[in-house]
Amino acid sequence: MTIQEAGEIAPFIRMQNVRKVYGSGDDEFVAVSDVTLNVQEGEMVSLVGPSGCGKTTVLKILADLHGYEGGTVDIGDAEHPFVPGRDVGMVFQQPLLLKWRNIIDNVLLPADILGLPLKPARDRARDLLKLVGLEGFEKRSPHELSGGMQQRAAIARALLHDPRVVLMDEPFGALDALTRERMNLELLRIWEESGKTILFVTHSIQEAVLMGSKCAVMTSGPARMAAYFDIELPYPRKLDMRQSAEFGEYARKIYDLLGVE
Amino acid sequence: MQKIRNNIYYYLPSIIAILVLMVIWHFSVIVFDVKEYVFPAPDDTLMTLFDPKYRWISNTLITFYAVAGAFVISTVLGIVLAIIVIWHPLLERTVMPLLVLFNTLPKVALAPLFVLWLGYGVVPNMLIAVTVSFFPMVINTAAGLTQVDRDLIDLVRSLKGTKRQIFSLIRLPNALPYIFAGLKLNATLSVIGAIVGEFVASEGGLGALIIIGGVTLDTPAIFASLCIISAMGLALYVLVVIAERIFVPWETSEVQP
Ligand SMILES: Nc1ncnc2c1ncn2[C@@H]1O[C@H](COP(=O)(O)OP(=O)(O)OP(=O)(O)O)[C@@H](O)[C@H]1O
Ligand SMILES: [Mg+2]
Repeated sequence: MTIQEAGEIAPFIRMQNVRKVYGSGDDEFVAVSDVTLNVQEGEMVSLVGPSGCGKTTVLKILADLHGYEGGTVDIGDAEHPFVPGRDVGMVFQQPLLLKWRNIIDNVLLPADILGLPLKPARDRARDLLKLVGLEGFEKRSPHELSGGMQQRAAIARALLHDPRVVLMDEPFGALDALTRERMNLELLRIWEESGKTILFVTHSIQEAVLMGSKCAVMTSGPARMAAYFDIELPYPRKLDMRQSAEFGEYARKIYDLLGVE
Repeated sequence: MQKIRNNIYYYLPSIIAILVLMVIWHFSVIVFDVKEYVFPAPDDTLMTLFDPKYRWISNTLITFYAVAGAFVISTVLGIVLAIIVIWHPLLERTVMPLLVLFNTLPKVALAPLFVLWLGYGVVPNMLIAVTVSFFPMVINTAAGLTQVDRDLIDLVRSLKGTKRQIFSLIRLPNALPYIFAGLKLNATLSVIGAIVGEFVASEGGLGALIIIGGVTLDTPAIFASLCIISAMGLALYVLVVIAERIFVPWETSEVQP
């Protein structure tokens, strides 16, 4: 699909034939051989693939954490230029909260780094904690919160500076199955309320189908984008949709893409 | 109130242990009829502490200056060296080997050199003590500054945080518990180092009293000096522990009473 075919709106994120090589000389290792990914603004893209296929690498390229050896990456347009740093929020598998800060100060970390005015940032942090269901926990320290609650604080932190893109690298991978399902629904709700563009990396095919408005499937050896398609399940998404035939078809499609090669 | 009671309860076993040890010491000396110049009883040791001829206060102060000076210098030097070492890989590869090499030297053997260069007095003792106590400060601080989750660094970098921000917002607070672990070692080693200095060359200080006591078979004076030295070491250690509870509450709040 080219930009023209997509019609009116040019994609917000445009990765074309991106190639990433770690190391040099004899240690050279091709982590990503050919990734093309076009994401419209406001989409929730689930990025699924086997371990080591380069999902984290793709996120890091988008976050401008490291360069790449081939292809092009463009985000935003001339009218609303994308500002690296200011426009990126990240969530990792671990909450990575700072032990020496209480919850609200942890959520405020991006404000400290970006030098945002503190008073409005504080109000926003409070609103975000409410959004992720942590109202009343502002002054607690991280170790007083459960793993799921800590991860919700991490999501609030990723949204604090109102970034245009939120990159999530297996954000619920460390949680138990029940908490994980609850967090899936919460994140869907947060996404719908905030209208952010979210890239959501996961190992779980079920999670990929449930979460994504789009699904990107990556395969390894050599790492490339195998498919990119819409997931046209209705909103609001519900856990029992997983029993539906439609859901099963999407899951099988991903499974085939991952299993065949 | 509850807190004080908890504290007493917490430290009671160690206080009882010390008292029991004193009682055993007292009675063993009497029962086995040990000569005073071999092993003086606790009360002999205590009496010696009130004998003005030893000039306890001024001697204690001399040692204290060396210990306190060494402790402060080692703290600053250790932290600064650690920051230099972690700031750039090239600095690490140049500075670290020198530090390791220096640390393999037996510091006692360096003491005569310092006397040769600086003469007698508190300053050479202080510096001898620094050579003994600064290295663990460097190692601990450097460990604390570097043992940070890579993803956490990436999080700050994704927000275009500078190296300086990574240092002040992440690395330094992360290093605080490690720094305090280093300070505890530093407290003990500064005392050892200062006494070593006074052994080698000093006209005053508790180390000098011990040397003189050894020559004149004045064992009670040696014991009394040891008591003051250990009290000094303990006091410094306790100060570090208290400061740790104030400055690193996130590491200490879970384990203490
Ligand atoms: N800094 C690095 N230096 C060298 N190789 C690296 C580096 N980071 C990643 N790799 C390699 O690149 C490949 C892709 O890594 P990446 O972390 O992107 O995979 P992933 O899809 O996120 O895997 P997982 O699902 O297990 O997290 C892996 O084979 C990995 O070994
Ligand atoms: Mg990964």
